[in-house]
Amino acid sequence: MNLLTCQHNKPVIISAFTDEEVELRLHEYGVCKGSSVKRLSKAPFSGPILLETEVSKVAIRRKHAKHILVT
Amino acid sequence: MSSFRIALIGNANVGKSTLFNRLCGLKQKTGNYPGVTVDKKKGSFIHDSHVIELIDLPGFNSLNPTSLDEELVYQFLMSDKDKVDQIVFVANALDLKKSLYLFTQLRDLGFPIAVAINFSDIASKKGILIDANQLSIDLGVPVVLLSARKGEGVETLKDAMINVPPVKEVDLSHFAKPEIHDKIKHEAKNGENLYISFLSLAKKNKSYRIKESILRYQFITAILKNAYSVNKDKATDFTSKLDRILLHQVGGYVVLMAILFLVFQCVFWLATYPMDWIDAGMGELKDFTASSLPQGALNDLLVGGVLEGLGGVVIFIPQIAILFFLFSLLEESGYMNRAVYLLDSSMQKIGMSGKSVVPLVSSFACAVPSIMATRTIQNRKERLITILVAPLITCSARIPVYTVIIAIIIPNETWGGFNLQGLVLLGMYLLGVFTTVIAALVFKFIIKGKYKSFFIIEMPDYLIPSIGNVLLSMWSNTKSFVLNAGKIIVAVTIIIFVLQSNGNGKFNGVEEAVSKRTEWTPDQKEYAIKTIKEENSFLAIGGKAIEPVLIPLGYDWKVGVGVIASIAAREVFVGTMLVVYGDRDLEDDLLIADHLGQQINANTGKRTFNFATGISLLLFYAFSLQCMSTIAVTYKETKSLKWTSIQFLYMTVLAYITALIAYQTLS
Repeated sequence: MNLLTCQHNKPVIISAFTDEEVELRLHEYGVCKGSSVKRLSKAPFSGPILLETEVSKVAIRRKHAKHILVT
Repeated sequence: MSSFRIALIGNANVGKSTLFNRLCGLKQKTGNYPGVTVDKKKGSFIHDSHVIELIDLPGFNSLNPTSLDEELVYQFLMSDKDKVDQIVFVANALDLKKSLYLFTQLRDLGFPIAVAINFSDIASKKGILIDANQLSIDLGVPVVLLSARKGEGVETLKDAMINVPPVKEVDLSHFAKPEIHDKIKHEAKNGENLYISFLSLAKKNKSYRIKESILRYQFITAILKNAYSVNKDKATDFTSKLDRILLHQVGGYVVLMAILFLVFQCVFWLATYPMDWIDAGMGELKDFTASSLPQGALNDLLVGGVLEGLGGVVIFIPQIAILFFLFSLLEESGYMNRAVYLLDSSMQKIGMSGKSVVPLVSSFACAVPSIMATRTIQNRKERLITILVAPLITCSARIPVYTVIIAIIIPNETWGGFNLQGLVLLGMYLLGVFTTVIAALVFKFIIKGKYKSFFIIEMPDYLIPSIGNVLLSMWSNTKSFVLNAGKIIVAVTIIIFVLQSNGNGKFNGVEEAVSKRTEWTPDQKEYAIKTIKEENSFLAIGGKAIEPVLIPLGYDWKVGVGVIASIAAREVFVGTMLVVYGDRDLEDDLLIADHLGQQINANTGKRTFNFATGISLLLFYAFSLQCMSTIAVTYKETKSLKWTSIQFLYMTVLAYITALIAYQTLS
């Protein structure tokens, strides 16, 4: 399961990243393997998704979100 | 008296510029949209007999730059030439964990640092408790809680800035696994900082960076356990409640469109009144100057050249100021990031990014700050496309040209309850947006992207804008526009005036030749002098040289002079036409339109500004890159003569072809 397919508005734990660049960029925002995140919303027309992390809210594109595996 | 050179550094949206204004009292741009500080700004103040020079840098996330503004800071920090004595690190009390990530990197670079934790007042309301003393002990640097907006804690920070302790030795275990410690030490030559050596190793091995971030966050989490806590009973989340409306799948777009509609209504409706006052004031000033100075060349130059040119600039101050005021309100409130989120997918389809929205919307005011604002776009291709198409958006400099030409060729009637001239003006705005989309699509397929695109944007908490910051932002932007455009316009108007007031032998000897014609009446003599001077001035000679290129578009040499003169800046066109057609006393757009509407094209015998030439001119100005400042800033930002030339050429060719087709079809 990845961040695109996980349940909306439910906290999930990041289990792995399948892209190094995505992992590195999200680390800068405090989002690492083991972090708890919540997908708050998806922008229409295949737009970005809004994530609530332990420290802030960030928006990332869907093509990056699918590289974030969660449990 | 000792002096310090201090850099103000932090993530985006942490209030660096607001703190900079508090400390230095300088007028400069601040905001809540990442990248508002598009270049480094300097200021200074004296505290306790110490002179402190402060440098405000763009916000960034880590020492791994992904966009031009981040690259600027990185280069600045690494440069020996710009070396600073110490850093004031501005952290966000609402997002302390992320802020401390960058702090630890800067500390390991060997900079003495004082930490200023901003938004502590808001954090307290949200139930966030920060123990500054404990944090100071754990981090080994002075830590001050403050609210830059309210000015709370600023004096304590000043004291801390002059008492920063020396740097401790770099602890490799904060960023590197033990197995590469020897490799790092081996890489460090001639006593080089160990973290700089690590950064050069990490460039070749991305996994080092990933491990670095994990280690740093472990360290930060451990520290925050002692110094940071959240009382969830006190926490309120106004931002989440508001986001449910502003980021709603349907409601979000309705609100966005309503906000943009309101912004433009304010710009065009509210600005009418101060524009009328300025108009009247400039008329009075010209009358006063004309009557106070003796008649002659100086009087003509001041009234017909300098004041004419100045009038063309100052008339737009209200529109520009209102636009910048409203943008600044949106930036300060945190709404701009929501607009970026909502529009990212649409922008991606045409080769740009959600982050292109802010520069493109800024283009409605002026393409120059808009192109500079593209620095926040990480992806090179998306940034380049935004730069290339931004000047197609209808900027405020086109307004005087459109207003006058529309008033000449479109009747002042209502159509379906709407003013016809207003509808045509709206049509020109829509044409600008439509062409921007088409041009972006074309460039999307032409330009090959070199870098992988990564889009991430933080949604800051909504804040009530500080009116002081909004006004400072409006002032500095408006001042910059007026000074930059004003210099060009006044210079060009004076050059046009001088070229028109001097000429060849016939020009200089016309009075003597006409005076011998005793059979002519005084009126006939005056008409002859005026006509011969007009035809033999240096301006006419130059204009006639380029006339063959412009005849197919329906322009005679006089209009051609206006087109060429306005290569420097579009808004020069109307002032040049008034100088060329010899009525410098007209200020009101309708009077200008009446006067220009009566002019006759010597080649065709028809009115110079008929429907066909009017539409041709409107299209020419919609698409041509008549702005030296835009050309210069494109070159500065792309550092490429190739892309600067491509932008100028594609817009000029597009302008010429559409104007040609329009004239040939309609005439």
